[in-house]
Amino acid sequence: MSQNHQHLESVVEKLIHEHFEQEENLEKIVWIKSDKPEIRLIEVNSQTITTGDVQSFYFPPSDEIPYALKLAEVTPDEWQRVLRSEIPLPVGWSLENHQVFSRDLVTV
Amino acid sequence: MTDLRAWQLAFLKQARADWEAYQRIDDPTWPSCHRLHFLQMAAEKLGKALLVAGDMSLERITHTHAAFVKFMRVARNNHNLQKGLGMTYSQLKAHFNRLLSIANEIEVLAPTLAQDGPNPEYPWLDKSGHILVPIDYSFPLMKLLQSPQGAQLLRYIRYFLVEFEKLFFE
Repeated sequence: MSQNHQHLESVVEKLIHEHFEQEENLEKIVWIKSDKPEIRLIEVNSQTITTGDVQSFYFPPSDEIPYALKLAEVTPDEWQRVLRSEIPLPVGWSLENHQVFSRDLVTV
Repeated sequence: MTDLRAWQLAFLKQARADWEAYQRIDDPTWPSCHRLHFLQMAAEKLGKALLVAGDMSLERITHTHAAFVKFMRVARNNHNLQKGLGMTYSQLKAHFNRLLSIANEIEVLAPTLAQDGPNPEYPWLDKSGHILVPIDYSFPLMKLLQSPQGAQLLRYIRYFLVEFEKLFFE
């Protein structure tokens, strides 16, 4: 594993930990891994609105998160539909290489 | 179509265009101020699209920049939204209350509400007398928007823009 990837991974883990602490309704966070130097996350939130799609919001790199961040939020039901390929992911995103972080495992 | 409805649709159309611009600026070399400017404008016009049907005069609405937080407060009374979320009024109120502080931060980006402070359009003087320029400034709001609540608020803004007619006209 390259140093760059290790750094990106540590930034992702820190971010995920923070988000679980900030939002009690987050059930899980899915890290969609990419060859690009950017972080793609899908947050599964039981208290958000159903829109039937996965819309990611872009945030430019910052001092704290030195990678572009693309953040999407879905309901648990929408996430199940994503897994069944009933709802497409944003263009260029794939579930081929993803990692699911559950609240129980991250916040213990 | 009534004049009021025409004004609502006009504000909505421009809000949708501003939102589109906000979404399309995904080049990391672009400074945050431009993205925040479009976000503030989209949120303000979304607010005005609803408020223009209320008891505020059209003149007051066209001249104020304080519309988005009012919109959020009014939207939580919306039965279609309550039904869509499966929440009661109190639940939706509590839910939206958690997002109001970020909504307020978006609203006060408007230079006239920024009270000679940080805004995405014009330079300002900081407390020590230095001139600060929007393109050089690190807006704390960017971090707030990256939080789960921030992402949730952005999702709501998009939802309101897409479903406005269904939520507020029916």
